[in-house]
Amino acid sequence: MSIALAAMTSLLSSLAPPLSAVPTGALSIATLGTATILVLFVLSLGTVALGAIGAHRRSERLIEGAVQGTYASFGLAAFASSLIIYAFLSGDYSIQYVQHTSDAAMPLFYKITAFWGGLDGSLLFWVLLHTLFGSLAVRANRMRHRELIPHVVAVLATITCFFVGLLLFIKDPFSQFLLEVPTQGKGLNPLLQNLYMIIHPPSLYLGYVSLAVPYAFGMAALFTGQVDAAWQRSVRRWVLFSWMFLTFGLILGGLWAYEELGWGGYWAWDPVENAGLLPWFTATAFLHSVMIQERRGMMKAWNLVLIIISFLLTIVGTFMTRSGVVQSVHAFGSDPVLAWTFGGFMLVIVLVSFGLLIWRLPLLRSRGELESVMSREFAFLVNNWLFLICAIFVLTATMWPTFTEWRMILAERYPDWMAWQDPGERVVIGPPFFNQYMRPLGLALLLLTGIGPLLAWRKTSTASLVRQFAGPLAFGVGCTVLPWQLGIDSPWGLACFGLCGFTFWTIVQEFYRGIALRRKQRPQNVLEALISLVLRARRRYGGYIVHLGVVLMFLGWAGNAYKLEKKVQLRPGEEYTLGAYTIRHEGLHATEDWQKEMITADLSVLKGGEVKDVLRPARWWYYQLPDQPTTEVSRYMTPGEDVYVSMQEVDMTSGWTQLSLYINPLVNWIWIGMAVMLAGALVCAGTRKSEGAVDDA
Amino acid sequence: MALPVTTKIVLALAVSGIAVYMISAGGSEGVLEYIYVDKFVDEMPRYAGRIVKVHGTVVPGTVQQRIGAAGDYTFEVEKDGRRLPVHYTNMVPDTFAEGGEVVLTGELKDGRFESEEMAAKCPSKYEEQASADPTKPPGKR
Amino acid sequence: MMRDPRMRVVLLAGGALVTAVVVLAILIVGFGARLDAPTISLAAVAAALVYALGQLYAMVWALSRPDQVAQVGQAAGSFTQAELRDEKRRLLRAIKELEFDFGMGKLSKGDFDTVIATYRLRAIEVMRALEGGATLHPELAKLLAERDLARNTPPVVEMPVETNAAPEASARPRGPLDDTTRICGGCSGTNEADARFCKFCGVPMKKLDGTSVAPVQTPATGEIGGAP
Repeated sequence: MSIALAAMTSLLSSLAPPLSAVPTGALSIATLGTATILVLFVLSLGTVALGAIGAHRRSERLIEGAVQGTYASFGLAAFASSLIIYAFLSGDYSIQYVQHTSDAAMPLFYKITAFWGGLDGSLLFWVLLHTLFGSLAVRANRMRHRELIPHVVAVLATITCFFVGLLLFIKDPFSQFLLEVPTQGKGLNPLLQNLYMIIHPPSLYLGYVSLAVPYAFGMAALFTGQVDAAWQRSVRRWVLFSWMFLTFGLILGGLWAYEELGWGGYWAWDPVENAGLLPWFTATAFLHSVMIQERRGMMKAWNLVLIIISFLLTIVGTFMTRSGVVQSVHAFGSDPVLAWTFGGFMLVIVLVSFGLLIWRLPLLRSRGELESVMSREFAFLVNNWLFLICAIFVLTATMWPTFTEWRMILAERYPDWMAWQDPGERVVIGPPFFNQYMRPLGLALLLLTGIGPLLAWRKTSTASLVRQFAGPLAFGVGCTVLPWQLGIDSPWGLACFGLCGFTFWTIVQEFYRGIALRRKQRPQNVLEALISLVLRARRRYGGYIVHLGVVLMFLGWAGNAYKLEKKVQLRPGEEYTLGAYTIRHEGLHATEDWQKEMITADLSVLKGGEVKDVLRPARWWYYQLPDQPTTEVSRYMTPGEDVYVSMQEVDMTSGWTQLSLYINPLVNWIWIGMAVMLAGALVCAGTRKSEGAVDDA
Repeated sequence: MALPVTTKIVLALAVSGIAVYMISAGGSEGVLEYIYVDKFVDEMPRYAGRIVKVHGTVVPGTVQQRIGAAGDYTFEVEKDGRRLPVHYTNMVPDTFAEGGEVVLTGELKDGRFESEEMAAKCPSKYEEQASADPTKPPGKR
Repeated sequence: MMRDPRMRVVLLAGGALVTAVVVLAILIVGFGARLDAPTISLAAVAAALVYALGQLYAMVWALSRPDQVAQVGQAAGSFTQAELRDEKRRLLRAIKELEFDFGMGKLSKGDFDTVIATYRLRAIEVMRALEGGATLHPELAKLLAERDLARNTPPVVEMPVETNAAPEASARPRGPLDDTTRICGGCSGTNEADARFCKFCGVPMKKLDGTSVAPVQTPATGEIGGAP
């Protein structure tokens, strides 16, 4: 410890005064950072070797060394991260990354979060999270899965190697300006300086990176041949954790788009959005499918496939957003070297993982059999397939434009080879295409959400079917007929309403009957019975709460069937009627603050002659970005609908205001649904694993 | 699987039926060709009567806006010297500017490109530049 | 001190924290820096460095210890006890769940009776295996023997206890009573029935008064229950 302190002091004396940007001597932040990354790379390689050899030789010493190596990787990653944050806070603009994404005037908080804002830093952030999760997972499971741990460590360290290798050889966040060292930073686009920017990317990263842990356990299970039961037990919580952060990150991204952008929507099937959705599909399927393996020893191969694909999709997602292979406004930009590197890594993952799976296929035979179509096992099987199809569809459709572009390039370069077909054009696949296929898929999943829990294991008798489904069917039909009578005639919308009603009733029925059963067993009031019911079978009832959240989200989507949209041009005093609302222009006013100039319109929202709210859409011109005015949306939110207004062109002198008006029915149920889903997931996550605990679904 | 043979047959038929339906139901609606202005102008007859996406740069000095209408613009886009007149009948995104790149969705009518949907990218010094495409959110991960 | 993992964590984390405070003090007092964000982050850098170095040292130390064979008994034998416990938990859970499902009306009486009987029997077997050879209640022994004889094909829900050769096991009616081997309660390695000390971990074997159990896992498959 004293040696460490002495080293620290000498280190600090070269770094500290005057805590300014100028690197002093050879030991600057940048060189220290790069050196750390180098050490981390070597360490990771060593850990892989230790883990692999230790497992092979059953050497406790080597395995322990590998485990400590995992912890040490986190230590080094934390050190490197602390260095880059220090560089941001102290304004070390000799480092290119710092100079590009910050400046002295930025608020402190944004300086810290600029760490993950750009590509290089985001990779370092990935490494930090990955080593952190690896350390936590290894520490928690060190004793419980002693045979698996060496392999888990080796797999995790290999992944660390890859990402650190990227940092070391391709995208060093500490790389410096070699010639002119600027003294000022460029700063971050003010559009990106908001709360969403702080939460949304890290949430998604947490979701992505944490999937490496279940993958490592799955690989360890395949390596050791212990493919039954054990590996999943610890892994379920990780996947749940990942799922929660993916859900939160994805929907928050949608809310951000909805609130900030002014086009009235929240999801555009943009490649980067899809990149986050893909692992979500397979992770959800996995969470369900493991129940079958636990109960009946079936779907072992499915579960391994799902976890491999989930991890692979996180890498695919990273690849899509960083390599420029897919065009998107989200993307970091084009980088062929990165594209090839990621592509190679993905190929290795596929070959090794599926190779192992095929090798161990004999071990993965089911212990149980599918006995009936009317069984929960079958429902889960269909569930798996539906989610997998969703993932494959979204992935293919997202990559399709790139494939057409490659086809064109190939046709240009090798006209003789490709002469047999028309090279065609590059295509762009827009939301209508996605929606057309995802709608039926989504509704099928909603139906399954209602049916699945009510089916019995192995085989459901007809009597049971009637008893379970009579109520929900009736309610579902009612929920279809009512909107139809109220004037909605879109078949998809009606189907959505009907299925929402059906599934909602199944959930309510489950709770009701569960409470009734509980009260029969012991005298309790309803609330006590409910709480004890949920606590007694957390996974089951937590799952039901999540399903309830899903129903609410679908309700929000059903509203799209009758949304209204209009672009108008109004002057103060004029009004426009859209649906049940009238928008009256009350006037414009111009203001400014230290950052920007603003023009705001005051619009009264009237319903039935009564003023419900005053909306204030605005246009802002940041002094930093004079050519890029931003649109500030204003909305009047009710459970039934949103009245949503954004302003385009505005002329203070004549008063002409271009407005986009939207009535978005039921949209707020999407955000409510997300909250309910996350609450349910928290209930699930709290499942105790103590002996005899009655937690199951 | 211990399912009876009839069930398996029914399942197989159902799955194939759904698959065939889904694939054949088209979906050409969301799939649009994406062409740069130079190629578009050179091969104009090929694209007649189809909705496509065209990518070009707004020629400075050609932008005219009809006042009084909620979004009615005429301008020209160009690439590599080929110019295409455009009639755009919607509100322009925030990042629309002369000299900026735009992607327009529409079709050829009487030698003019009629469009109601535009995505605009502004030339910018920030690497995380967001374009205010009405269908795409900006933002960074 | 480095041996105990908890002490290690405390040492490293504590050391890092202490360093941060010390460095902060040095910076403010010694170098005259203000207590602002860059200063604090520099202290954090120091803390992170101490942690990283300490952890690296721990790794080196772990590698320098004398070599031992990892405590795994036979190929996958050490998990026998744990696996059995997990199996027991799983079965108890499944039984409770079945009873609940039945109460909720999702199972017919016939289905319920059949399925739960299988689970219950299996649970008994597992619990017996866990206790390492306690005497079987004669009634239960008779029941099990009858069931084994009546069965020609392996059940869908399999028994956790099986002998080494997986394919042959399915042909023979499986008797859970086998006198030739015992499982150590400490490391779950397989020993002879008359062993007094476990040959893997050295703990004294519990005195037995009757039956014992066959090795639960086959090295090849590593699976509880093996393949039919």
